[in-house]
Amino acid sequence: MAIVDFKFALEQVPAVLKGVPWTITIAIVAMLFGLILGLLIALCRIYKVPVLNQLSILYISFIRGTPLIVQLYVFFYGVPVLVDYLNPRLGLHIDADEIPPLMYALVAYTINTAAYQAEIFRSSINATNAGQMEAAYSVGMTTRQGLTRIVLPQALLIALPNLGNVFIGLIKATSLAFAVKVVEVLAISKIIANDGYRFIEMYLVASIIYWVLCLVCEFILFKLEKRMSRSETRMGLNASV
Amino acid sequence: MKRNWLILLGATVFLAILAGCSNGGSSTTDDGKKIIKIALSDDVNPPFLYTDNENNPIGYDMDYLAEVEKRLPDYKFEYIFGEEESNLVGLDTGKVDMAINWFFKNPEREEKFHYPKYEYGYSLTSLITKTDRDDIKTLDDMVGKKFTPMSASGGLRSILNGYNTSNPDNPLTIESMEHPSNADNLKRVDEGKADAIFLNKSTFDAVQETLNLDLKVAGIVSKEPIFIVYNKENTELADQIDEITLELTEDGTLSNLSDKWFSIDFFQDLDYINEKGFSYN
Amino acid sequence: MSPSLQNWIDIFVRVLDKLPLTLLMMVLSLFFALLIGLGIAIIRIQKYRYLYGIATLYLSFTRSTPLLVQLFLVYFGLPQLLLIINVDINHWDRLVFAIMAFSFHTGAFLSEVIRSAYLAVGKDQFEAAYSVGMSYSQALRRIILPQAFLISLPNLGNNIIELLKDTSLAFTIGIIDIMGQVRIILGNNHGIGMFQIYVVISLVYWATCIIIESLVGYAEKVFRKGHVGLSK
Repeated sequence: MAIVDFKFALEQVPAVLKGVPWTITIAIVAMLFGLILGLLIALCRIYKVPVLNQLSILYISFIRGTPLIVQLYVFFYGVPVLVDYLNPRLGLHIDADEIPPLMYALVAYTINTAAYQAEIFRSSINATNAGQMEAAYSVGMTTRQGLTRIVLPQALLIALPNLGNVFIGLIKATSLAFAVKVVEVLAISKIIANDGYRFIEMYLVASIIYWVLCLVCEFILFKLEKRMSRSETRMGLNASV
Repeated sequence: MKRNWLILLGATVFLAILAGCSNGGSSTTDDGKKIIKIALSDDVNPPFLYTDNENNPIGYDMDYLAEVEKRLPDYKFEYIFGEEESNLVGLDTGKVDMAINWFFKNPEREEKFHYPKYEYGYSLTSLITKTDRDDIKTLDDMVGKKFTPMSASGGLRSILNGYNTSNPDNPLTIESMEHPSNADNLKRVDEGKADAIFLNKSTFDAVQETLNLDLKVAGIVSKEPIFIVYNKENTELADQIDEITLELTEDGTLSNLSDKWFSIDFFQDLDYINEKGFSYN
Repeated sequence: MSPSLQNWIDIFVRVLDKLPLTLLMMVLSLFFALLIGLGIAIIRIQKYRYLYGIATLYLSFTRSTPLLVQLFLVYFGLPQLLLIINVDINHWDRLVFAIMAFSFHTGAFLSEVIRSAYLAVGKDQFEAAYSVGMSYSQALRRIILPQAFLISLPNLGNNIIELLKDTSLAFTIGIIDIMGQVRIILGNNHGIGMFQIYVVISLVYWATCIIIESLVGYAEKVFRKGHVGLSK
């Protein structure tokens, strides 16, 4: 008897695909907010802003040092504890149960990914030559102008491949979102699998969907990098002329 | 394109490995006895199955298996903890010979695994509500009301899915999550954040011992026979154990065990059980 | 629910009890992953014709499917595949399968770390070594590898930490590591105190990770001693 019922697996694909929008929403929103938060944290660390710098170090170390699934649980069960604590003190009436699961997921994934993005930004900003900033000052730019016009565009280019990896990691990581009640690709697969114990088929469907999603993202990133580096070489040529 | 070719090859190898998952034989012999590997779910359910402080499995299930093992001189049982989903995959691929974890029977599952003829115990699936509510007695009363979030796997979920399949016009609203906490869910009902929780009676009793919430069993939905499940090829072993299960039921051993762990003999009928304290209303 | 101090300590002790197993899995997997990584890196650097394609495929697969799937393939799929050629490994300990899967997974990432470190040292170093009469293997041993090792240390550290966190999946196939212990504690008490228990385990992982980080940092310092930068 063959263990994998391919026909069954194939029939379930449309149902499982309904989870893809959730996966993509979590990945993209967390990525975007993570970019902003990560950049701010990176700047705090580079300019050694007192207190914020130390807090950032602690935060990054915690996020890097614990499995994502544990972070999700701490967050998911911690928020109600926090809400219970704050409600009477601030005169609020928030019911932690009424917060939609997607909200939990978006915030938790943003907190997670921002730590990684902060480290990427920090190293790529550091990789941009310090002389660049001095040159910006010498033509009368402020720190802010120097950062936004000169340093960050270059840093972003350096950071792009790593950011791409983070995004792909994020897509795979969304498979854990079921822990905070988001019914995404893997969750739908598990629900379908339960009635007839068809876990192999459903894991197969889910992993192929993830694989395809990752390949599509890799392809887009590849194109993006090619495009970006084209402008880079052109600049190089102009400089040498 | 070279890349596409590689991906195609990858997908093929991936499928081939999975397709290669045909049923393997059971494990090797040791001192003449045949080792039977039994998967236990990590989602432990006292008092059916849980662990002591050294992580040794204990509970009703284990006492039952110990009785069975005594009567099978040629076999030695070996227990393996694992996630329920992975246990079932393992059963499918022949990693383990059987799995025990109050498995409920349904036709779809019988297609996949071998179920024995005789059950070794029962679970009373029930609706738990606040003590002062009497509008909820059956699943029908729960249409349009709020359940606590429940796990995607497990027999309880299948009963609700089954209800929805047969009542497509008035389905129950079910919220899912991975590994919900029963204690937290009961507190949700207690605080009025959900109308009811669908739970096994024994689980409710066990949690109540610690939490003592203002809750009651509002209605027993079913008395589900529970089974061991076997790999499809293990029918011989299943038949042997079936005979022993029947023996143990008839000579009262299982009734005694039930009394020991649940303070009630669930082999009696529901009326008796109700009289003995599973009474609701 | 009022978690007393005693309660916290009890959970802490029970979780810590399983830390050696987690560390054992990590160290053994790391060892084999380094071997696999080195092999793959050499194949990719030397561009052996057929092996190169296989190595690339292996990298793509390990990087773009969830580790859980890989663990399942090794634990459930591999024995079935080997049964076809009459090799029965089903009775092997689960730990062996877990370590195999983690080595296989981490090896892919390490091969990229090793490869990029090797490439980062630069061709001119080889040329310089040849110009003073060294052979290829001498150049590799005396000039390239020591530098490549130093370059790769921070990335190696990152991957060791990722590996540590990855081992938390081992419980799905029934290995009671620290994560498994947590799941069993939660099952036994019906999920009372989820928050408390997960705080405890996150602290255990975090502390372990900090220790690893400082070890890697120390190693960097020790090995950097011999390294004199041009700027100095």
